Amino acid sequence: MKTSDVLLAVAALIIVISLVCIWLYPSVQDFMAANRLWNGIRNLSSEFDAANLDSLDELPELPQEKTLVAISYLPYEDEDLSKMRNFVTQGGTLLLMDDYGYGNSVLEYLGLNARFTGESLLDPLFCYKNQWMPKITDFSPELEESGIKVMVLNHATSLTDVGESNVIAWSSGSSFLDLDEDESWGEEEPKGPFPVAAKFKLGKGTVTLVSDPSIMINSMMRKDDNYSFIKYLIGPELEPGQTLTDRSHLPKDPRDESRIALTSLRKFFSLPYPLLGLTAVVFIVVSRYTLKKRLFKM
Amino acid sequence: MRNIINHLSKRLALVAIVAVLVFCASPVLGLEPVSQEDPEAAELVFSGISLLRYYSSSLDSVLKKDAEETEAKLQKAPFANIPECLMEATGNFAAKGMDISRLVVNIDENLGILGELLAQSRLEESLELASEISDKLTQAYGDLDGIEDATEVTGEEFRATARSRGDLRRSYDEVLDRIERIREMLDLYKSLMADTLLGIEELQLAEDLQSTELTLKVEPMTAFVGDYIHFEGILASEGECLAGRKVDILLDGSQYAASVTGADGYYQGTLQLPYWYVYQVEVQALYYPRDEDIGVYLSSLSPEVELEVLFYEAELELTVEEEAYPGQETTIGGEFDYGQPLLPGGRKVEIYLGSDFLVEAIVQETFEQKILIAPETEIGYHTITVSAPPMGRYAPVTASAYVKITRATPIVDMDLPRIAMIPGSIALNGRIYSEVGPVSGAPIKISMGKSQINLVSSEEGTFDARVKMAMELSPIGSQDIQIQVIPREPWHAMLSTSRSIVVVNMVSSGGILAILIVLGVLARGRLGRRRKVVLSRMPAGGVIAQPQLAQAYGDSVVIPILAAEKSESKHEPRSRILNLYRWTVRLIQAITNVIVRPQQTLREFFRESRMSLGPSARFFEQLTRMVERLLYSNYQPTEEDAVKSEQLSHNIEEGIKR
Repeated sequence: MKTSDVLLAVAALIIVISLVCIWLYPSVQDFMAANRLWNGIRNLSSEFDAANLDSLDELPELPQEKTLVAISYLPYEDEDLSKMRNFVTQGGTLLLMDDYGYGNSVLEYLGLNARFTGESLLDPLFCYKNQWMPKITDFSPELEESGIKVMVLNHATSLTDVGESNVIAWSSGSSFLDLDEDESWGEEEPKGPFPVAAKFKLGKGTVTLVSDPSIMINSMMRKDDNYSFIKYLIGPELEPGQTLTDRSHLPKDPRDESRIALTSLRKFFSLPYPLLGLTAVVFIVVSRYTLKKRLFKM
Repeated sequence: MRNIINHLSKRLALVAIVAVLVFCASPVLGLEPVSQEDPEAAELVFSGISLLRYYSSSLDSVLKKDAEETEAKLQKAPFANIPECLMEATGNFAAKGMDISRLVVNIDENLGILGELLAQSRLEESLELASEISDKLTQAYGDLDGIEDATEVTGEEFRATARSRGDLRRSYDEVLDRIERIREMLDLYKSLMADTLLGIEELQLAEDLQSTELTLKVEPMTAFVGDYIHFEGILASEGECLAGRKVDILLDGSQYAASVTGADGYYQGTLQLPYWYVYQVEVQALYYPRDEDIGVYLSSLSPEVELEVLFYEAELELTVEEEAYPGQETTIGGEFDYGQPLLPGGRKVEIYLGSDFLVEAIVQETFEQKILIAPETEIGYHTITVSAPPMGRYAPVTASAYVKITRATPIVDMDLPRIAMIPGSIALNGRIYSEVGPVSGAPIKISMGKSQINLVSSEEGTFDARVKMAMELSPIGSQDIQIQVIPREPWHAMLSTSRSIVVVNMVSSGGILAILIVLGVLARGRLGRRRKVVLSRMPAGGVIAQPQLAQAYGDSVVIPILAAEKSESKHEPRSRILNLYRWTVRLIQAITNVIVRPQQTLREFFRESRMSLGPSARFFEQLTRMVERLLYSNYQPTEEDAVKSEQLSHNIEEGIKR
């Protein structure tokens, strides 16, 4: 066997193993739908049969009765913001979840006064295990009627400039904003209750704000009434497959990028012409190899 | 100089390394906000300061005499993150805190009432209420002790008492301070109570105070709400009638009417029964000394008279449509069941959607009322409430039902040809409607491949359009027509649907056909050239190729060189036939590349080469059978057989050439 053939075989093997690893090895990045670990959103994706969008270009033209879950961890282009606004004004529901990210740029673009404070919301008393995971027990009557009693946040912030009628959930009176980041309440630091979720009508659609996207991760979704809360926000009447998650504004590691590229490639090759081309290439290569071998024997 | 540079560069390198380390470690060091942590791996941390502050805040609400606020705060206690050993203490604190807040409010109110009773010389009632207040005060002190115990347990658990200062100690002291202030408040109530009791005692000891007696008679004893009833009675003191004294008539303990006694102490009057839709009302007459009577007489309360109250009750049954649409009217049906024949002429009803008032109307016993659902109403289940306010003898009645508010999904009824041609266009016409009605004036977008048209439906929901087929590569196949409808009416949902159509691309198909023809022609030419090459390889002389030894079980076979001539007429028929067969086999091998394997029989070779020979296969089969007969039997071929074999060989050759 020639050296070039050995190299070719090794290269092919490496490519195949890499592709298999990329495809099969689960993501470990926060909020990734492929991540089955504590910080992924695989459970949410499967529960709500959510479609992952790698670009806001994929937003449906008819957004009515569809919910876009946006976690704003990367800056938005004006084009993206415009698409989000169209989505909402045409009847879609935007569930904007943020804590320390770029949610305020979306709110500014949409013309809403509400803002994410970006300050850590701590609750040393009403919490799960420690003050970074505040328990929320005050909800609007509508949510209380739907049976939501308590939910748990995880490294959350709060909302500000929200009208009383728009707020749907508040933190407890013992919560505070840790302005000086010393993890304890000081006299100058504001004390709760603070709004942590709010709902606004915009055009024909709705914008819902939640000051912590972590309630959706695998390890948090089943804590207390978090699932019911998420279901309420996404839309209790929504049929499976009507939920869209924006993956384009989440930080990704190289493996996630590769997986997305691989998925796109697979999608591309599932189209008729590329599939035909690929089959032709495989046929030609195999035929050439077989013919060559046969002639060699003769 | 070099030393300085060396020294500086070392320092710079050190600074750079430290900077890189800080940059890399910043998330770990908490310099960047962490967006989440694994809840299962999270550290369990309790905050004594927060718990004690929560206690203080709750006790502040007790001091404010705001029972609702206290309850709202302490009801959250089960959600607090506290050590297991403090669960009971915190639970006790919450239970006793809520109890004491209610007691404080009650004691405060009753002390005021007690003062009034005493002022009116209502001795017996004062004694009864004073006893009740005393019991509640005792209970409140007990609760406060419980609160103090729970606080001490909490303080010990967090070692607050072990410290002389600090936030924890301060928080603990603040709770104790609140407890002390509540105790002072209770002490104050206790002293007020003592003062009142002194007043009662004075009243009891006053020997010159004359007792009074009051009678009451009510007629009729059964009456409808709103009816007038007659009351009368006599006010006397120690056998002597009291004239010109005001007597209050109490309904369920509240002053409702009054009368003044005549010269004989007799009082009477009528009162209209209030529209209280209760089955029984307690009526009492009350006299208490006023003006000059103060210090002379004691108050008196007549025996209770139980008045039976009548009114008409109804049950209201609602029926609503299963689904209602925003911007559309929906019908609510209702039926009042009064359980008796006397019915009101009409009844006012108020209809609410959730908490929003929609409409009011006067309805009959059975009614149907149309209501308009606001266009902006959210999709989902809503409560419709029909409330009939009280009307004279008819008690109020309320009923609710759930209605699902949804949007109607449009249906596209479209005439679509089964096959479309490229180039060309297809006519699309149809109607868009739903169970609510036609989708009028709705923008419609129809796209098919690269073609797209926008149109608007008519008032009847119809549309008529022609889509020009865009040029594509696909020769023939199914293609989707995407239809998007954005209705203007709020009761219609947006629609995105697709239909399939078979598209024949005449240009592509023609092109492919032309290419196939060209390829066919080229292939034929190439085959011809190859045949010529093969034929040219045949040796010119009549030398019969010598048989070659084939390696047993070998994979490869060397194609023997073709004999120069097929056969020679001078040979025996047997030799001629065999020679012809060998020649034919070599010809087939050369043309088709089918190799004769060492272990292969003649018939197996025929089967293998049959596909490649096409129509000539049947001639080769006959030739094979003839040779088999020669080889495997005693048959002696005739001249006729030899001629036939020549003919067969010729036919095979001609067939291959073609």
